[in-house]
Amino acid sequence: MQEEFDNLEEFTREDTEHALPLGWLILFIGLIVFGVYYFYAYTPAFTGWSQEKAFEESMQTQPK
Amino acid sequence: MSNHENSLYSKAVLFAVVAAVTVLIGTIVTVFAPMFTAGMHPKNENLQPFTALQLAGRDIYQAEGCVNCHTQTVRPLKADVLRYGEYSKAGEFAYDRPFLWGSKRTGPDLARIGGKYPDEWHIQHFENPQAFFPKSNMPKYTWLKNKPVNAPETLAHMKALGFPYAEEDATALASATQLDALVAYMQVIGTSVARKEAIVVDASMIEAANPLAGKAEAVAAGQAIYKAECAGCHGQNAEGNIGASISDYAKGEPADTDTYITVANGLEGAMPAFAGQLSKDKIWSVVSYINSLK
Amino acid sequence: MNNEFHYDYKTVQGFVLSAIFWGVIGLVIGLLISAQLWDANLNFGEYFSYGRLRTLHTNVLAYGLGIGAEFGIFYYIVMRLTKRPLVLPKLARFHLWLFNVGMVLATLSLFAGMNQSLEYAEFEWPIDIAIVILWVLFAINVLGNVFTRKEKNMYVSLWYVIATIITVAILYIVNNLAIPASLTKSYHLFAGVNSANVEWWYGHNAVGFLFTTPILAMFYYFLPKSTGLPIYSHRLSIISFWSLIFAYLWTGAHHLVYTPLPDWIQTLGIAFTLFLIAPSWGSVVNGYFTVDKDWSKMRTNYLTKFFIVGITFYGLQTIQGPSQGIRVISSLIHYTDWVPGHVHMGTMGWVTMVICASVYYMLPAMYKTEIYSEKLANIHFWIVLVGQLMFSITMWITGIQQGAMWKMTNADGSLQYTFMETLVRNYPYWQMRTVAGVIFVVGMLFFVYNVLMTIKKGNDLAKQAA
Repeated sequence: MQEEFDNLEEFTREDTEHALPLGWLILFIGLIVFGVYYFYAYTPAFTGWSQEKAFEESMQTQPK
Repeated sequence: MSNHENSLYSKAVLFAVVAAVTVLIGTIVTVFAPMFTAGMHPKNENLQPFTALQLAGRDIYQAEGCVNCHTQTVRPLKADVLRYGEYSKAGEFAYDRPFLWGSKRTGPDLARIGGKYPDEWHIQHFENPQAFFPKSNMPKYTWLKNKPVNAPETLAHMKALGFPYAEEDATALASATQLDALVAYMQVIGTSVARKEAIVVDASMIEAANPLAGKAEAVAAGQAIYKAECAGCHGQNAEGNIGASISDYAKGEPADTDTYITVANGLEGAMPAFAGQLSKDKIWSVVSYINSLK
Repeated sequence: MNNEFHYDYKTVQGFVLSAIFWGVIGLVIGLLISAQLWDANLNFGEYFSYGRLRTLHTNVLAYGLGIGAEFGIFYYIVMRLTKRPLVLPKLARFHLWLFNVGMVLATLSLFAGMNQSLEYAEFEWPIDIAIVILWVLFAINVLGNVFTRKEKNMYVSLWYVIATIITVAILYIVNNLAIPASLTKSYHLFAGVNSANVEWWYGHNAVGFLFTTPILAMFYYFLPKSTGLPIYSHRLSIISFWSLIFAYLWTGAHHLVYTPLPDWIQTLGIAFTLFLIAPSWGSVVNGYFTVDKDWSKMRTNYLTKFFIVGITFYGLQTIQGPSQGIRVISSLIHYTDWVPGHVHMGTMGWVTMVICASVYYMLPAMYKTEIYSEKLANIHFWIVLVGQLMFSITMWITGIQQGAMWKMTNADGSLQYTFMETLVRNYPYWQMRTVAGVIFVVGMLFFVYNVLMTIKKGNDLAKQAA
């Protein structure tokens, strides 16, 4: 008995082969933009933010 | 797929090479390159390599899967520092192969466990955690006290790590049990950073007399806290065990403020501090309970 | 009869059965440790204490069920998509046997406490070497087939297979570099902060390249095969693939938020983790739009719902996961039971769901028969779904509760709760989790029964024909 082939045609839809849903594209680009901002904002070398500094600030509000 | 002829997806070797390069970029930037910078290899000045007994204990810690339930890193967050002590520093872990920071706190963090309790506390607690915390879910490690440390094996581990050891370490190891080793390891964790409590109480910060004095409900509340937090060391009936007898202590008629400050700040190497985890009212009710024992 | 298009499925079948065997063991251990968490009396001596059994649970399921199934299913997919039998079928059979021998030794070694204490890389160095050999044997056959394929183009599933093979090899070898101290003990080549950075680069990408890319390979292959619907957008597949495998490797540090790891590595890890939502949802959207052509398949084809619900949990997982990386959320839920809730949505809702559906598809194809019972498969689906949701939701609730209780302070600046007070509040939820686990395991037993009966049916038919 001969096996049936898998033909690549059954995996790819011709009419929408190149489609990129707009909502998804916005998400994709938006997350890149946000990632760049986030890396800038929370890197000590760029903005001076550090988790130690944030901690010291939070302890300022500690009642004694 | 007709228009993808002769694309990357028809050249398997090229595809594999491009895929490998793609996954290596992030790897190199975040893992391989930092590895060769000094920032990834800090060491506290007073950090010492593990002794043979401590290393044997650490091996047991690994073998028993302690890291499944206990972290060893205090985050620079207010609540973490209040509960556990000074937040973890990069230079504390230079001899940790591997790091044992963990990922789950089913039990409490252990980064500042070294010196928090006396040895005897650990010995009894490993034997029966529920004697200290009745509702604890920690397994009983009863077999450790009956098993000797494998001394030659441990010394081979010291050699592999390049840690120095003297002859007397080897002889001490020969008579040690696994429990001794594990306790020795417990007591060294986090000790390269000076012990520091987030809240240290002095007389100026508290009332001159117990504001809850004479209230029966304060005695009951204090007793409940005593049973949950203190009875393991001081005895179910305050008769004393690892710690002193609280009945005897109460009979000495100590000043309320002295009792408060002892509970709040603990005693170096003998008793943990409670000021971070018990409110003023709770500590005063414990004082009320202790006073009721005389 | 024996022309080159007669595929040798024996190795695939062997891996499927092996994966099921190890899966059942891993699940039973999971039930026991879930009960140990709320009753310490269920720890029985050193070999059956939580610390050792939890390590066994994760490893037996990850390596035995997960990777075992992936070996078998990949052999199947690769043969089909390269249109040729395995280049070295005897080597594949040896691979199967070595896998099972290795699993026995690995299981015994964890029982004995031989544990590197690196999450998902607990095995000691002799087992590590065996695993590398297993991976090389696997790679020889898969890449051999790919390089000598009878089909010009490589389909999406093959991209994910190739990326998996390459990346897992890099991750596993680097993180397991160690200083051997004896046959049963070694020390991480990396120390302290560096050790942490290497381990979580490995740990997170082990999730990525053992429980994401392989399962996506299955999804992209078996969804069109079982529904007859071609994948919606090839371009979306391409962008999702490359951006996923590029971004994943930057993200390990999100496991180390608020540790002494340098801030910039943490921040970079968090930023890339958030970005991962996009490539992950690329595959989710592609899956939805594929079935969008004919949603009646959800009714008429019993496997469609496995894949659609599976990819839905993948979608939820890849929103929840990245959000957990953000510092403010991490500070609340990290180290709590929220995280096992998250992990089990992925493993029970996505990985196991898609693996089971793939097996349901392959068995009739390999044994030239129908599935033994679609009805039992439907029962399996609904029971595991209920069990998994109950599991994850109880863990999320108790995780948030505990995280919040850890943080709450009194007016005088002290903490409101002692550790024990926060712990005991988990117990009712942990008991519910055990119930959820039992439900899930019952569902999986329907699957196991259905698989065994289908194989029996196929073998009976083959005997009759002969």
